[in-house]
Amino acid sequence: MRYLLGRLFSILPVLLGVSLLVFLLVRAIPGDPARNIAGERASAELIEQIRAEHGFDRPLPVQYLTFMGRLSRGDFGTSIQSRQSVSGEIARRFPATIELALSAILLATLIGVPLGIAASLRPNSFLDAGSMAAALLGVSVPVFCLGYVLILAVGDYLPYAGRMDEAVLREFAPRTSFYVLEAALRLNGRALFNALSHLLLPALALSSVPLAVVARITRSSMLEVLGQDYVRTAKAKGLSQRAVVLKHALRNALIPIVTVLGIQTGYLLGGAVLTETVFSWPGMGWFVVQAIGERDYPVIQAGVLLFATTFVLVNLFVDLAYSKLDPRVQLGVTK
Amino acid sequence: MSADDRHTLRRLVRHRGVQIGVAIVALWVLLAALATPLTGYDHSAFDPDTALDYQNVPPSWWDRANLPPDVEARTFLAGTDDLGHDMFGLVLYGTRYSLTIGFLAVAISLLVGIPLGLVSGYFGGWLDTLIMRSIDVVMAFPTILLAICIVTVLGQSLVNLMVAVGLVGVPGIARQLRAEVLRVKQLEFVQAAQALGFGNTRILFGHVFPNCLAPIIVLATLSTATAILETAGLGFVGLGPEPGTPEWGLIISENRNLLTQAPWAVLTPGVAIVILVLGFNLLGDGLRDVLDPRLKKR
Amino acid sequence: MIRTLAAVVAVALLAGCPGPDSQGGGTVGTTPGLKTFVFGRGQESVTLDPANATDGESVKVIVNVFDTLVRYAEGSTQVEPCLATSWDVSEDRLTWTFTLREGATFHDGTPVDAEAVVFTMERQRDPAHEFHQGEFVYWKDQFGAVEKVEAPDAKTVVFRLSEPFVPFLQNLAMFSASIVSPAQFKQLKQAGGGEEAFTNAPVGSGPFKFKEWRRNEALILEAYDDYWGGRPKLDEVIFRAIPDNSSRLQLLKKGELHGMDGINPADVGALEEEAEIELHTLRPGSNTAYLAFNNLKPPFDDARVRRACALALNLDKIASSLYYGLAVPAKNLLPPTIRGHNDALPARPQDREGAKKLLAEAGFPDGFETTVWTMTNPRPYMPQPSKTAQYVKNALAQIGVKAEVVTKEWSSYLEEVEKAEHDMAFMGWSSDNGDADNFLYVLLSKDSTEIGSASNISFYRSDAVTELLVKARQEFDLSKRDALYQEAQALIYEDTPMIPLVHNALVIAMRKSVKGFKIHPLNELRFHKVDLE
Repeated sequence: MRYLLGRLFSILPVLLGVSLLVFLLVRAIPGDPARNIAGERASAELIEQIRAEHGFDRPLPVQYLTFMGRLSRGDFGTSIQSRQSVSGEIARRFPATIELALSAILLATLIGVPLGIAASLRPNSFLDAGSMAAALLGVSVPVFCLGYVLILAVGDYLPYAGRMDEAVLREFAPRTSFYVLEAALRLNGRALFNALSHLLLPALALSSVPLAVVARITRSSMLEVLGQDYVRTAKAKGLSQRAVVLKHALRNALIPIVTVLGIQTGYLLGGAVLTETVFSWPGMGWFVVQAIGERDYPVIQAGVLLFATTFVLVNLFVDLAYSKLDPRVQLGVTK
Repeated sequence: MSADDRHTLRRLVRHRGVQIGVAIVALWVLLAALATPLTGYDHSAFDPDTALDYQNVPPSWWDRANLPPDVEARTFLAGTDDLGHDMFGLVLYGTRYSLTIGFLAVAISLLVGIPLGLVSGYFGGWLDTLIMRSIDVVMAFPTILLAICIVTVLGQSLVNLMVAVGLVGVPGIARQLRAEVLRVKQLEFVQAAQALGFGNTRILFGHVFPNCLAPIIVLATLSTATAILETAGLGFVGLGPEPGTPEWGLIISENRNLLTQAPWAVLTPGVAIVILVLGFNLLGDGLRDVLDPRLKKR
Repeated sequence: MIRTLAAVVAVALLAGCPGPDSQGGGTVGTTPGLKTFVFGRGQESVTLDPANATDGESVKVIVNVFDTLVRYAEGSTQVEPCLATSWDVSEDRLTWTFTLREGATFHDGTPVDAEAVVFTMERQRDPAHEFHQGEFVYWKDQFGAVEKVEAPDAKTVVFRLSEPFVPFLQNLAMFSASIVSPAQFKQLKQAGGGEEAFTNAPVGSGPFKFKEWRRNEALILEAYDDYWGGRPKLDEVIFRAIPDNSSRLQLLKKGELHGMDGINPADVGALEEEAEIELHTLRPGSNTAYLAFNNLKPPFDDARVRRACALALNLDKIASSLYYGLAVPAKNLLPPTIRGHNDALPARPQDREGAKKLLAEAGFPDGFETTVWTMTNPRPYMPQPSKTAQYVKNALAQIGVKAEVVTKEWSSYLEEVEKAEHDMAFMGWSSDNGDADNFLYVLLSKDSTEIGSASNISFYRSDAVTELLVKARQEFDLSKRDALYQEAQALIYEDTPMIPLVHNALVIAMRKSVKGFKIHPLNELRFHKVDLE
């Protein structure tokens, strides 16, 4: 418990730094947000008035404190472009990004781990060489290229825009923005199938890099573990290959895998920016990129902040999971 | 050259990944240098009006039915886009941009990251805490998003693109180097140098840094691959260099509306990215196998 | 412990994430047998308050929810009665009197009477008005001459103007003059609604009433049973924003959309072959894409340099290749679809040698370095801004002019261009009201060249041309007015303050099951008479 509190405490300065950096970056973007709010044909007086209303004319430290004050109340301001509350927009869009990123991780794990294990069991076989070559290819493909290849290859059979067909969506009438989760919980087969079919291509495109990394790490950590004494002992004691792999080796190999998944969260969130653009996925990443184009300060601020915070929190969890998985890691003594 | 170095070099030359990686990169550089004589496409003397007569022509190996005879008479290995650019020539020509941006961006990462990592690891204390906390902050941002923000702030240009991609790579280099310095610092010869009263600068650059080089070389090679990918990503979201510059990500983004009518205009630059990035990744992995003894366990 | 924490966070995330219905007020279920028409477009509407809308996506919805006093007839820019059945103008052209239709009601049940018209207009005109909230940017341009709007009785409205203004009646048919329900404004205010309340609960008297708006997902309208012009055949209209052109097209092909706009020019040819889909094309549309020279900055203050650059371009090729044959090359800024267009002027052929000669005469035998600005996002008149800029750059290189392409996101683009910071810049205009004044006076008169808020971004300050354009604003004899415009265009052609490039086609794709849709020259999308089979 003390360790947990300590870790939680240690991320506070990081989060504070993140908020400051986001705030400064956003202020430094050239272009006049007041003018954007005012519209194309607005008068100079009107722009001035809007500037005052939104506090763009006040000194930076004051603006930062106001920003932090509002943030602590969960108030992210109002989007300049859509004139909606940013927290509302986040509530609708972030779940879309979370579903996409989680599906990509799931695909990466479900395919990557077995692939890595298979490769490690027969080192230097055709399977090993082939899967490792594929993994290398996987980390070398830009996610948007893969997206277009997928669209060209199977776009006629699988949807590649949006999260759900409008007709299904209206019938389904979701109460949250986690469509897949909600459809599963409500046992709505049609909605679930429809949501999953929309999810497949973008998740596949996004999963290529984590999949490749997971496969490679699984393979090398399995090789390492399989070579260790206790595994050899277990084998010598007559345990079947299968039992050894499942029981001993896999558990130990999980540690580096979990770590990698933590690191890949950053990639997934960044990759989501590009994937969502290719697949018209109504998530946060795409929204933020559009917001940058439109100089929509409140949205950029909130979006980038949200991504960074998510990254920090996920890594906190990874650290905790790591300690849980590996009893050798002593919780109290860090650094 | 010591016997040890010769040994390492021999192992490098014999490493399959290194061989393939070097071959790919070298071949690609050669192709890029010979782009104009090879393809007949000259980017600097491009006549937009004649080119438009050859709009969206399929590659020579594609189904070329229904083409007007004068268009059919000309062959384009990778087809043309709707401005009439020969995609193969354009993409080869674009290699110059991708390689230059990649290398210079990594140079920026090294230039900023190495001092930070050295100082942080060697001196420790509050300076270390400050640098590492700042790096934690920066690393919390998805790289592509951070790069997008930096380009937006600095303004769109080729130089700023390199700066953004370079800056985003700094934390990785600094962290890795710091870890190395922490390890090397404990070694006997450094301790000895300190006991002898050598100056910090002399120890840092004379003893510590040379012994941290191997992982940095590996990381720099892999970073080049990442930098090329990130550059393409920025070009793709429209934050690359001036439109018309044959930067691969930019080409893909400008031709995305041709995906159904002229897919080759989107796929050719994509294939180029994959091949070059694959080359650097192979090379980096190979270097790691040979140079970085702790990661060699297999 | 980790598990508990994870559960807590998951619950917090779920709890903190209100679903769509907490904002939109309930998602609708499908009712069998309902005729629902779904239209796909590239962007979401910004506002449904007609007086404050400035973007095309908002207008698409507004024209279906609201009526105007007069409206553009089907397929033309001729004005016909709508909420006003007749009108009269005084001898001095300063007093316009309108008689309102009997039996027209707003969606909230209140009658459309003279008081509502006065409310609509005075709200925009009078800064002291109780509901004067917003920018009303169209008011000054279109109705700046209006001094006062009065209601002598419940069915009569009188507009008093400070000076004669020919396009007045045309402008009354524009979306910004849509008649809004005063009762709704008052009720929203009583309920504590702020400035933005009306845009989320708009009430007009049009064929469709507002039902629900889940931004970036769906904007839903439903038929208004008591519409004075007869109940629409459709029961519901849904507008969906799908930014990617190709994705939107896929949804149309799958039948998820019944209609869409914003088709990649490259895809139009293949779409013509599609059995399920009908293309509604109007070629040319009432729009012009042009390349503006900054006439204030050397070397573009020299007409020879401007003419030389014009000679470097092959407008036929731009129209046939960059616009995939959808556009027609332009001779004038004023499109041929609009009265007053001077067709007698010769087309400008490409002539590189002639261009080089002109440059040498102007003192630039070896050309010069400059910039050509373009926007990042496609506009209706310019579907490929970046590629068009590349063509121009390469074409200018052929006569020795080295231009660098500069791209800016739309709002900074406008801001900087209006401050005259560019050398050359792409721009365009789509007609608001079908009147020549809306092109020529707005884009080329000296009066609109104020640095910082210029709409004449060529900064062309010809006294002779401006005088003709101002005269035309007040000339009610149409053939005399035409002559004034013809003369102005001839002078402009000679001076070449800008290069009019092309007039782009309007293209709307509908599934074959959609009946009764007609494309409108001002690109108004009215669904009153549309039906689904």
